Amino acid sequence: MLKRNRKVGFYLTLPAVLLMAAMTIIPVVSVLQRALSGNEAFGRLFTSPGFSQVMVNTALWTVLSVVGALVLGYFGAMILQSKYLRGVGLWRSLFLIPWIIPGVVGATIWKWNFSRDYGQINQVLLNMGVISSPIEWLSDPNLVLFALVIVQIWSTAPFVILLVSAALTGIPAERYEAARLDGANGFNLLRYITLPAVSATTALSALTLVTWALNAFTIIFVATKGGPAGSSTILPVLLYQAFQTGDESMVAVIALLQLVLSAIFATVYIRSMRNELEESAA
Amino acid sequence: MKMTRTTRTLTWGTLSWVGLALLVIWTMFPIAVMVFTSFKPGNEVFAKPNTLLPQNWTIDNFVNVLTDSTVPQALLNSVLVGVLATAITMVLSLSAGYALARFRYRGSRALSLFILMGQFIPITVLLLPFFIAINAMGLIDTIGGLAITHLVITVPLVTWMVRNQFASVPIELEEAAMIDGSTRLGAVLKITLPVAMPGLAAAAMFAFLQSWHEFVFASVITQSPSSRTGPISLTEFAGEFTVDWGATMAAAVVLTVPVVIIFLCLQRYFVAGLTSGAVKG
Amino acid sequence: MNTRRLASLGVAALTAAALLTGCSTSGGSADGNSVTWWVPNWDAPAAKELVADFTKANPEIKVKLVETTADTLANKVSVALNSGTTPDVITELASRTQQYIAKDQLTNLDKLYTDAMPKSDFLPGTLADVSTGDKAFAVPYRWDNLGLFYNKDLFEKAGITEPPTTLDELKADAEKLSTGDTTGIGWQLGNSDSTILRFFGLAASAPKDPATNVDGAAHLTESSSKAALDIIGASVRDGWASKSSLEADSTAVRQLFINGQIGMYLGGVYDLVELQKNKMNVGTALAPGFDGPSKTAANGWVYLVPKASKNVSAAEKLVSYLTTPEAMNKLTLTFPARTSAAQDDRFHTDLAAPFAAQLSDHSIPAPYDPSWGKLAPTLFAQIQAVAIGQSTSEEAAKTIQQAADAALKGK
Repeated sequence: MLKRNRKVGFYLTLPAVLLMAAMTIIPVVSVLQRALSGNEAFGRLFTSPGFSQVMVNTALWTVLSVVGALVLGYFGAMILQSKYLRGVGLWRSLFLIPWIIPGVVGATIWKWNFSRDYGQINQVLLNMGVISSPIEWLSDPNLVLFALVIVQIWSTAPFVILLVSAALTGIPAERYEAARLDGANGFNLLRYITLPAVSATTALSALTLVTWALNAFTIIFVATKGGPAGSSTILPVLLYQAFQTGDESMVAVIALLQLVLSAIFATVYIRSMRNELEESAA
Repeated sequence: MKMTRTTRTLTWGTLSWVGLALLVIWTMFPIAVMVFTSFKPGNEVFAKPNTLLPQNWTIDNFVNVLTDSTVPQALLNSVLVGVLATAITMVLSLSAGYALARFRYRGSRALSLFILMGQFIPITVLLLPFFIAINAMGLIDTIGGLAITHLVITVPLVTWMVRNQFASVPIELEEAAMIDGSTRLGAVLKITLPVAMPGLAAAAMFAFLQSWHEFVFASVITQSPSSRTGPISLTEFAGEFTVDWGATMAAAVVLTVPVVIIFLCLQRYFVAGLTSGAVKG
Repeated sequence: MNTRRLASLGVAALTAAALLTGCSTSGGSADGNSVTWWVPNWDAPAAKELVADFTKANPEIKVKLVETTADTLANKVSVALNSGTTPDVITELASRTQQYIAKDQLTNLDKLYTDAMPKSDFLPGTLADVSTGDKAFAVPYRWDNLGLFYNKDLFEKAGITEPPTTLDELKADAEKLSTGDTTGIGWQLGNSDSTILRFFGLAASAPKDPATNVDGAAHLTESSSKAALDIIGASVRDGWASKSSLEADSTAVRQLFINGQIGMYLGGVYDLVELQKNKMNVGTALAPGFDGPSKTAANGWVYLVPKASKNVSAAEKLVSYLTTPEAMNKLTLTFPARTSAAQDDRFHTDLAAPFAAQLSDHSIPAPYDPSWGKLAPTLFAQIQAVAIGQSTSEEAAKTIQQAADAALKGK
């Protein structure tokens, strides 16, 4: 009965589509034009000595920060569902603060925390006797990217907590009751009720986190500027550097590369939603 | 039998609280650094050895921020921009999200992919065209002009969040209401919206915070204090070669606290009661 | 029917929202004789006084001040100039001026350089930054470069009586100073611009095949790059510069100095205010070089009038007032760009004198050609790579040379 009014669906989608078209088509076409019309920046980018390192860093950064934020976000949301806790509203609000703090401030605080000389993290580890000399979190090329991933997880996990919390509250308690009566254990409840109910949310959270990871330059720019020696440089940082130095052809090339990578993620995402889409609309 | 249940309750109860404590420490430790730094005098921020608590407490930073900067005004501007951007986003996304959840039509997948792709365009690429467009509308240096630019970073993902939320509400609920004589709009307003509320509230919160954080558009669209937003006002404490970190942290506290309070007040939209009641009915 | 209503709901709400935004428009009208001046917030208090004086003399011109901040200025100016909607006067960093000149976005200000303000009155190098050929597109008002700060107490404790005048002495002194929690010297290796400027100053002072600045483009040589890397990068690797250098920007290095964690650093004269506030027993000297004083890269601030300004003649009037010796003296945080404006005693104290001498006798303009910007990421990464021991000075100098040649070829 609902399927019949297909035109209505189209018209309802139209305002959002028109808005996005108005906002994005011209900039994207001009980027494509500049990037594809015999651009010397392609050569400069792909042959530069640090390029493969940038791509490896970008992949590591994206995977680790997305997985980390998902795991932590689920953990947080599950804890908040616990019926043994009091004051859940307050805790939930507290958990969201890292997401509310202006990005530059969050990055600066963590830069201090990781600082060799003033950092509380080294201070605590030294006091506990875990280490004997301060760790160079931000200037050791083998550590720096991981330290920065922690910052990204800290500031993005609250979003996952919020979204997953909302999805979990949508599962009727009766469903759990019924399953328990049928003899399901905790693992079964998770496997057959909780996870399916939040699968769409998981996919969307992952997509959002990927978007953020692929556009993130604040944290890295504030903390290390991509260093030392490029060991924390990722694509968005490279893009912002090019933008700041007025290297417009390079901006176009990196933007194109980022768009292509993102388009792959978006297509995978939309494909994964296919079954669910058909199910709900059929 | 009874014994084991009590033991289990005790174990899970303890585990829950331990997990909560760990998360609170993880979340709050850096925030404590921010708050305590805001009470430190300038020369203590980089003192060695560095302590978490100030050696000499001072409220000078807050006095400076509240009386001699545009931060209070910027807080208000940020909230206005955020609310405006969120309102427009929600109208567009509720409409599009509902359609994508409930209707299948030719090109619906292509359109949904198109909307989503907007999220991935680097802002640096959009900056100049947006400035020219906003200027042509006469909206440079206005709250409305900035809010419009923020739609490009809110509409795509919010549309998808709304879509998922509607899709998770069984369509039978809506149909039942329509069989009872309700119009479709009535069924959506009375049945679907309340059930989907926690997710929609989360989506609105997301939209607000995306706008709240945005720096690059705001740095060129706003010029005078009348439209300058929070993230831009923070840069007032950085000179050419010096940064007043005490004042910056105080400004961050001033910007953060009201939003946390607003969020605490909106808590009830995230709680379970609303949902399960409606589903049962 | 219902469905149509639902559809129109969205459209109606959208229209309402659009109207709402439209209402908040303030509608900036272009007043016949008003001038908008973008001024950085650290200059704003003095700028307000100057504007008051200016308006007294020119009551027909209204000046509107818009305060900018260090972190937003570059984006703001380049977007405004690219879009064609600009203020009338902008205070900008000298080294960014050339990129606007190249796009033909600035008004030629040659007619402001009259007998009352001859070009010869400006410090050497200042006008090159803002000119092509002999046409000037801006007026510099503030100029500065780097000198050496040293901690007199630490020097005394280490038994050093005089500040170093050559790099060999610098290294020897730094090694003497490095005991316990103190290290000899600190660099701003956490910040790209600061690092590169110091590198360029040293490379340009190399005794053989020095780097040069040709029309704003840096021409590097492998041997001079290596010589500079041996100081800036290798000092960290070898332990006579602080390991904290890799994380440090200007503020952090100054703080290390205040804490007594480093004994020396290369900084600008503006740091004196902070150091004296902290009651440091500080000394200043010319930057040590390979064989006597080193050149250091100079940069400054200028006034420019966009081509798209709606009121060029009033804007020029304002700029010509702002560049009188009196006004220049008032507004500069460091040194004025005109020699005739530098009479004030505060430019000639014992602590400021080395910086003034550095500026007039041992300075080289910071490169401003776009090729320098393109080279920046490679330079920064290679200097850091030497500091963390990832490459040797030889390898890094070779990599830098290849990138520099490529950047110049792309020009």
